[in-house]
Amino acid sequence: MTAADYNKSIDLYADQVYRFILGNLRDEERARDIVQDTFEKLWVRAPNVQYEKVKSYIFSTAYHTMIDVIRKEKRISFSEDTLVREPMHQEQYSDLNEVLHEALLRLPEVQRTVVLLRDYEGYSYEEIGEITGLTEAQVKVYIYRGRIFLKNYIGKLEAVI
Amino acid sequence: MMITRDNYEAYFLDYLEGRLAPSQAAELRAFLDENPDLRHELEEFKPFALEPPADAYPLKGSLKKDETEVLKDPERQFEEFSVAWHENDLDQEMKKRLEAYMKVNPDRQKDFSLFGKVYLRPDPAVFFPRKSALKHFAIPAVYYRRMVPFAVAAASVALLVLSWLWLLSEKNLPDVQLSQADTAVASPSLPAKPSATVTHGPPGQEMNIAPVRQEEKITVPVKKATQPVIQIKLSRQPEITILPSPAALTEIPRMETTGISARTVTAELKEAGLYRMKTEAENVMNLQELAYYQLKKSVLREDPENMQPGRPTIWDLADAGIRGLNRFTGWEMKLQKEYDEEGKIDILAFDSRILQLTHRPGR
Repeated sequence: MTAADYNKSIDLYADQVYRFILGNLRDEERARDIVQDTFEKLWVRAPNVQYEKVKSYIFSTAYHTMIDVIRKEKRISFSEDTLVREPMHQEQYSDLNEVLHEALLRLPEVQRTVVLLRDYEGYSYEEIGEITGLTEAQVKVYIYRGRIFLKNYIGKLEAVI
Repeated sequence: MMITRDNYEAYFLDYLEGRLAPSQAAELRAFLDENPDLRHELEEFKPFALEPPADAYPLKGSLKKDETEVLKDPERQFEEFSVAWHENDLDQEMKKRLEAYMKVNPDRQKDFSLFGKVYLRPDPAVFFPRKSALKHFAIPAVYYRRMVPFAVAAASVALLVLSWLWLLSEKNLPDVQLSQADTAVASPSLPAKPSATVTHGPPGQEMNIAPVRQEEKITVPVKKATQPVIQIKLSRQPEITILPSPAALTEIPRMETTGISARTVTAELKEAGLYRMKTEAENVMNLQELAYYQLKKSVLREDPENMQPGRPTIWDLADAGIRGLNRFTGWEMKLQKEYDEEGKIDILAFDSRILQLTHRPGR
């Protein structure tokens, strides 16, 4: 991958991967740092990365960097404080989307990740498996469980919707 | 391979399984004619073939599914099927079964529609703010690191060649030489005869300083100062403070106005007791002096305590280049300089495995 390809990948994917990490962590500063680390790693490995696969590489690197950060800071479980935090850019969300993003924070980390990759980026089970290191069957199970949880969550808040 | 009494079993097995070529089968028959006692053993080698039992599984009918049944476990399967519907994971048959189930159970329609609402949308207003800072407009660092040794080697060789050519073509300037600016400051400072005034600041501006006798005053352009102290800054020496000693000023001999040696000035002034070296705290380096100091200390490995202040010469740079080249290539080239009493380069020698050069610039 050339320097031009690398710069192009920043224009194309930096926002997307930032939203993905932000959706997982709900922490702008950490999300920025992770995205920055991700692209620094990409730059170092640029000669060995094919441009056709750069998006997958970026998301995979960002995901694993995020996991490292989470494990380091032991932020696997969310406190009540996290759950009641207001979503960002609230005015941009529809009511349902707000509720869904709140519900998303209550999902286990791995379910949250696969649901975000599926919904935000439209990745297939196989692609999500490549990014996260899970099998296709595991990805499918986690997505199903996540969907059922989200459905039950919004079902309870039907009045809000 | 010949059939012998040591390997006939393998031939027997292949024969019975029909894997022997006609020529091998003929060979086997000839072997059996020669060894009739083994014919019986061949008969015993005949493989056994297991026949499947004729009995049928008696509960087969009970295991079969009712094709009219929609969902076997509606509570569990409904959620699974609903998610799969919206994920587009169901084939046409499964979709029909789910639709049939919902026709029978219209109360589940609401739950089914809720599954269609659990899809998140990214917020397009959220964007990564540091995109520009991430971009690179150069080759990757891996390539850069590979190029550095070659670049250093090329630069060093070029510098060395240029230095040598310059040396051969030009008169070697004194190694210790005042800059033009410094000369301009220093040259009028030591007149042949004591002057009546002392210039203060740019040439032409004069003022009286200190209670000096009329015939003992000197003309010294100095920086503006409120104190009656004259400071002369020389390129190779720390700043010198000339004390306003009337008696001492009379003892300063006349100096040449160009090419004045800093060491000579220092010696003369020191002898006259007119200067003192600045203390460590006062002796603050400027950028050029700092660069020279670091070059001498870190690259040329000179002892900081014996280091003379000044500016890097072209030979210092060439020496640094050669050391860098040695470091990257493992060569052992040396550039040696010897100075005369006046601080000029007396002998210059270049030494390597394949080339030795010596030059005396003054001759």
